[in-house]
Amino acid sequence: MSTFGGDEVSAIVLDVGSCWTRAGYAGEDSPKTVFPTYYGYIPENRVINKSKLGASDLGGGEGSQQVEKKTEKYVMGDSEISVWREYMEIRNPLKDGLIQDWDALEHIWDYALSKRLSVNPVEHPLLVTEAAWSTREIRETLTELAFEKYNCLAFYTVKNPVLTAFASGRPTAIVLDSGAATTSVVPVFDGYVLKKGMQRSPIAGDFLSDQILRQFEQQKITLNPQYLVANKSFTEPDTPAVFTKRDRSNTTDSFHRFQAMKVIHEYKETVCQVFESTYNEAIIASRPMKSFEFPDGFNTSFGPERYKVPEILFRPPEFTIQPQETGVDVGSYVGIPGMIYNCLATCDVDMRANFLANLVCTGGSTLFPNFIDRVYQELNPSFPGHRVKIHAPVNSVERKCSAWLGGSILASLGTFHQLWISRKEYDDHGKVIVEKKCE
Amino acid sequence: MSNDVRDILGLSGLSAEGSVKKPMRIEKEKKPDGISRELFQLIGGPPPVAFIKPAFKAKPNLRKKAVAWNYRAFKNPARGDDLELRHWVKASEDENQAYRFNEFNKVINILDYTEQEYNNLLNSDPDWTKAETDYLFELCRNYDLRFLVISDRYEWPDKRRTMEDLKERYYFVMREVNTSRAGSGVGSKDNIASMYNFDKAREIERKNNLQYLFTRNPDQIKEEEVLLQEYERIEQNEKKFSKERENLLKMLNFQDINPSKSLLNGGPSTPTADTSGAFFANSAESPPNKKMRRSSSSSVGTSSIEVHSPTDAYPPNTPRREKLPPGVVVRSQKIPPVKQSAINKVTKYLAECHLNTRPNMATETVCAKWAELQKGIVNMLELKRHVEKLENDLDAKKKLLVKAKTTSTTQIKTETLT
Repeated sequence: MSTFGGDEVSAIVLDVGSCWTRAGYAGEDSPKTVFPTYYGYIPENRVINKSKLGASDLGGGEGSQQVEKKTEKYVMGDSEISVWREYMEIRNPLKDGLIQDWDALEHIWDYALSKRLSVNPVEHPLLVTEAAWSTREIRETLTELAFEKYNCLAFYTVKNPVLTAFASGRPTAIVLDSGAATTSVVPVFDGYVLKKGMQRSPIAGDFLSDQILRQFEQQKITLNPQYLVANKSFTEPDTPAVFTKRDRSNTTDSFHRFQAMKVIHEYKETVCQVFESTYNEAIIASRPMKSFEFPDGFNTSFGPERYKVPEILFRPPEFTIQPQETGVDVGSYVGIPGMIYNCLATCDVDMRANFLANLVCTGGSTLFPNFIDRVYQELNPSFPGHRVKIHAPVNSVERKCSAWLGGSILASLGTFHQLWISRKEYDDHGKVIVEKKCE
Repeated sequence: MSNDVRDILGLSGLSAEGSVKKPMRIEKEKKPDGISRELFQLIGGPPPVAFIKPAFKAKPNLRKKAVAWNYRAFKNPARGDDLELRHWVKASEDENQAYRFNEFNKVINILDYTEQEYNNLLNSDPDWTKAETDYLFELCRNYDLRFLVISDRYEWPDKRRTMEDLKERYYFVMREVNTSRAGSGVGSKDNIASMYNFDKAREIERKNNLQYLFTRNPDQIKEEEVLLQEYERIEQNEKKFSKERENLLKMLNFQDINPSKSLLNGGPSTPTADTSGAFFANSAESPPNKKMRRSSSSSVGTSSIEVHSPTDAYPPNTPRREKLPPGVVVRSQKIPPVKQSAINKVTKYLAECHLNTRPNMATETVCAKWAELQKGIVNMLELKRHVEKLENDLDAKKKLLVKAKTTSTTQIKTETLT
């Protein structure tokens, strides 16, 4: 056991990401539970008369709802939030990777710790991940929450890129993380984030999904998510769908959008692809089309479109559809290779070669086929005479949960246990201790 | 059956059988001492077939009592507080054992200067206040002197400090404080000063150079690579040459020491371009020697070069007793030299005949002929000189005779007159 320096103290690792939340025990190779960070919210005035309907929809009610004293209702969990309920809003407590809605976050912690892991936090040290650009207030509130509400045995918070670097076995690396809400390029040196070199842009998974939605609109494809489809029948490709629609009045916009995004996620995962070298319309046009069937039975094939949207990651201004309406100033963002270049330019010149040989890619949006090849293709000519090496786990679970994995490794190391913030330290110094101890 | 046949043929069957069996037995018994049987069997003959025992998974020993593990609380001495975490340990482990990961807790000791020291030693730079220096040292302690991180986190109002600024300040403080604390020893002071030496300008220059190196374009890199290759090639050639030269010298020396052997051998030894100055001088003089040089470098025993050996057949009229350097020589050297006094005349004569001082193609016959020629020329020259001398003598005698005649006639005349 001493060979790998591990010492299990049954720590809990909690990684609340923009799209998914992962939780599990430190020392394990994958999180025990992964569920969406999105949650359903039914406001106070709507709960009482509609709860029956909601329960019947659930098929006997799995006790997934949490009835607060205020009687507003939070719905957590992958299957639970996918069930249609009247007036249920789908919300996300995070914005740009930062926690905005603390009540919801508490519900997420509750759900993860007591419902999914069934642990008593008093008995366990708790390691929480955070965005590299997390603010002092957020970290302090997290510390407060851990000690005041959950009364954790010990607490620590680490930045995502550091954990990703650890998960790939390197203390020094440049971490490219393209997740749902943000694409970031962060230099990590000896387990410390170099704040000045950090690059981030909102052009990530959610932005692409939004673009795909616009692309469907342009192609005159109406998206009927699964919850609207009662039954469907087979149709020939490119012929209108034949299906019976469910009556779902009083559906909130956010729920509909969430459901539409589910379809788009599937589309992204099965159809979309990154072109392996510089975008070339002629070659792409000659490639075979890929067909996709929508939940309502409509099916069609996609040609160049399936390359166009992921291309936004590399050249945002050129490929964004209706850039004015996205709410993002697309022109001011450079693509991923540019971000890496800018990041390196801010780093000390001594370290650049080292950083270039240790590029780590992670996040769901890096899972497009050919993504890694493309990044390499774009970077290699920019740095002649240097060895560019990109490390990306082949295993998609490792790519999606790299921060959690790093946390799992870190919290099970014997040498790490001196770093935990203990109850006593919190009592002595207050929440400001987090700034001092977790850097 | 073979015994019967042997009987019929009248051969001694028994003895033959014995002779067959005996050696086998002897072979087996022959194992010398000091060699293990296994090793002995391996010597000669095909190796024995190695049998791999089929290995099955070891059966769990169910009778043995399971090792007990305890869920124990432990304290980490590296921590300032008394946080108790719990982990599973074997019950056999000592409960009071120190936490084994404690030894990895390395702390860098960064010095602490006093107020007085600061005022006396470190106040010289108006750009730095004590508060800021304190802040820098706190960061140094927090980040264990990782200046990359320190300069990243460094935030002081109205100041923008580069990593070099920070390093300079840090090393300045370390140098000043440590030298003042070191006391009187002169050597130790210098030592400390050199230990904490930091040349900011040089560091900046180094980084600028690195920056330049980083921003090279592919053409520049290619050019550099080509140059580097060329350099390597030249260096390698140089090495090869010097090695060859060394080998040659070694060989020549060896033959110097042991000439008789090489003479006796008379065998080939590698002739190389640098064997003798005479050869080079010769070849340089005459253009057709190109061919000769090639042949000399490619093979031994060619016409122009050979190893001096007494067994070689020489043309009978070549004198053999002249002094020659041992080892490889140019054959034309073996041509007997002309007398010192006659050299000039011979060369002159050869030049008159449009010939060089040495033969162009120094084959054995040519050499022999050349020697003959030389000898002939010398003879001829000598004879010429002799002839000249005799002619002169004759002339002188004639003159004397004439004189004598005239005097005698005048005498006669005068006698007659008188």
